Amino acid sequence: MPVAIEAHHISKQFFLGERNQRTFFEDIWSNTIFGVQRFLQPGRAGLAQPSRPSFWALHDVSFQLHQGETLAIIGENGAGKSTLLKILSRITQPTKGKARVFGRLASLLEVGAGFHPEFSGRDNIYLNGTMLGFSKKEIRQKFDEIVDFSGLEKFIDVPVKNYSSGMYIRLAFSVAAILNPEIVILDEVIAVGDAAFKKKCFERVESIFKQGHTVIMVNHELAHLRRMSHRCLWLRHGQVEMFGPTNEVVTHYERAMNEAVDERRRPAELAGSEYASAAAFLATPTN
Amino acid sequence: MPASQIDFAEPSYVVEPGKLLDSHPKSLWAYRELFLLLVKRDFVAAYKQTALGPFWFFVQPFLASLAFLVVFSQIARLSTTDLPPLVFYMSGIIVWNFFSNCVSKVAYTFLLNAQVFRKIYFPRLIMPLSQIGTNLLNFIPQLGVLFLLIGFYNLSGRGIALSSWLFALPLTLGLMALLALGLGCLIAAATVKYRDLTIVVGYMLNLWMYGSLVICPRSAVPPNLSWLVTLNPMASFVECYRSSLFGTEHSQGGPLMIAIAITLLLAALGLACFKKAERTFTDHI
Repeated sequence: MPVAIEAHHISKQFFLGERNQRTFFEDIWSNTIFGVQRFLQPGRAGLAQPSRPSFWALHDVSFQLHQGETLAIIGENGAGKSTLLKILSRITQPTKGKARVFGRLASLLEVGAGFHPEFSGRDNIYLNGTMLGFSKKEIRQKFDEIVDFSGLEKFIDVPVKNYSSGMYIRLAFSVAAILNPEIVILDEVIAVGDAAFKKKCFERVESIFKQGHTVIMVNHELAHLRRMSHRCLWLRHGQVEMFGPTNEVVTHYERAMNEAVDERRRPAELAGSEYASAAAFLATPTN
Repeated sequence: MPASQIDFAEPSYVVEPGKLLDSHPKSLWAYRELFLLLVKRDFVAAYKQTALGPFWFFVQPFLASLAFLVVFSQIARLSTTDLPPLVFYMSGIIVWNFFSNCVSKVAYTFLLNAQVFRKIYFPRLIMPLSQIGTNLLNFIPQLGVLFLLIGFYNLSGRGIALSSWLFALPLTLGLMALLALGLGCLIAAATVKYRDLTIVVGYMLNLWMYGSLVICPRSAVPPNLSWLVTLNPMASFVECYRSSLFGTEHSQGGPLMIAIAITLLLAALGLACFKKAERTFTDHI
């Protein structure tokens, strides 16, 4: 099976604190002082510019994903999931490391970002499609299918600024889902719109899976992941805690999460489930 | 569908430090359809929900020319070569508007597109290029109005001959566009750090116009200020533009060479800074 994504030792460093807070003249001033000090005392480095605090949002992340496989990325908030996705989709660059991506990559929900409010739904389909790297011809071939899927036939020539937020998301989802980029990112809320459209979304996602697309899933329910994804990448504090078959990784992840919760819990509450103890806690005042 | 189209020997793209966003000609060419759609988008969107719509193309330069006519021709008595003042001012104003709109629109690239840039990848240079395209598209009907004005003068007996150098006009416009692109990209890169810079740019562009031979020919510039005009690339380009239209002035070789050198330098610097800014700006803005 050919490779879809190859990530080698990807690291991303972020600077904290004062970055970008100074004005133009403050910058000029401090750089001048720094320059003069360096000129006077060449031996001493870092006089006027102390090293800024930083942290590694990702550290040495490597993995390989084959064409047609589904990858689940799991981890707590701030583990680096979105940073990794941003790097893979070229929104930001890694500080170190390298990734090779084979095919177009798009997220099913973030597509609507390129919509122009004054443009009609029709024009926005073309605008967004070309932003994703599709040719006008490809979009024209699928145009009817996109409109049909979104259920917005009647409104397709209305400027999208007059759309309801539900209609807006439906159109955005339809563009990416029907154009079928080779690598699809499925973010948390794949179910958008009303109940009927939700059902359509799930069916569409199922068919994306069946068609053998490469899919990256983030922020999904663990049970859902066990059923749908082949490989799982567990990130913790920006590092790969585990990478392998989903069942195995998710089992370890759940155990670790439960242990973490148990540690925080008082012994008396250990008996019940999290919800039961919460319910008990809420019930206390009335008793 | 597309799985069969992927070439598995070559990755579609590689992400690594310093080489993330490729703005080289080949990848820009691949997005040419996006470029055209963006030009169309901005062209159309600018006149949606306005009272005069596309008539703004004509009204604005006309009103500005009338104001110049009163101030610079009637009150200040500045020469306008052999041309009727209205034609002289109008030709200058439309080309200056083209240049200054290009600079200010390109300068806003990162500030206005932050939302899109944070979600979808495409070569970022497409945005500034499409702004240049839109403004070029805005300029053409204005040039048409200028020709109508010339025709009107000719009919009323005051002959205005067009120069045989008319073919050089696109070249002059190209040089102005390149200068605007370079300068705009440079400012755009700086706005990633200093967001209020664009306000200063607006004022600078207003001032700059008065030193760019829009209101008077080179011959009317006081000698103690002529060095300023010589070093100003836009002055040479505006002069060049007018001489390719009417032939009432002659382009000066020396200043033109200086102008072209400055343009190439600024374009190279601007594009390099833009490339550097586009790599990291999502971490900043």
